[in-house]
Amino acid sequence: MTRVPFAPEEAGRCLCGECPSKPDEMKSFYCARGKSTAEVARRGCLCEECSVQIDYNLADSYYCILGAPE
Amino acid sequence: MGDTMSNLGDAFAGESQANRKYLAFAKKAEEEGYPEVAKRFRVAAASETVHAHAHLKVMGGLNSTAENLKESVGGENYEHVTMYPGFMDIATSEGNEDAHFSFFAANEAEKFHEKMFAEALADPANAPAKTFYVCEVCGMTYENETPNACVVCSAPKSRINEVA
Repeated sequence: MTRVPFAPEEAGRCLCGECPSKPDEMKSFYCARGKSTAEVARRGCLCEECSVQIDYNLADSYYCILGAPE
Repeated sequence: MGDTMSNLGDAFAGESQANRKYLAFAKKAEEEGYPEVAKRFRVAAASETVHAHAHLKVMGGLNSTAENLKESVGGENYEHVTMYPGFMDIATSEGNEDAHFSFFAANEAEKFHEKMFAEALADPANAPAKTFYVCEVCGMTYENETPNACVVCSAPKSRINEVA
């Protein structure tokens, strides 16, 4: 597992913006930027099908709740 | 209360702020299912725009396009070189992540804006024809093409809109 860099090319591949669980906030790309400061209701997670997740060998989901993997 | 030029400046700032605030209120009213309330906010916002433009004109804030571009380049440069970096540092030191990200998103867009204006300033009459897009979530700005998701806030392509 590699830490996801906080880079525009990676943010541009992130699927969080389309996620049904994403809280109403500007912040996104939680696997790099860390967890949301808002309350998140689990309504499904798109991380497992995200190319960022695959390329960086991430194993979890709901980074909006868990925070960025170390 | 200051002299009239100072009051014009204050009035311009206040009307400009009211315009943006009312549009945000209208959006919220739409989301909450109050279309007639939203309409009233949009009406007031449109009126405040007229007031703001009138004040700006009277106070001599409208110049030639070349001068306006030059002022805009300077303003955008100040924002992304000085203002927002300072704001981000303070937000970080205070642990306010939401404010930090809001400043960060604006800062990224201001960099683009400076280049966009500078390109036009080089030769306003022959500014190259381009298509511009703005992310409706964070304000990031793009030219000619858009990514699959916003490179600042990861909003999907469908929320990055062309601005004519």
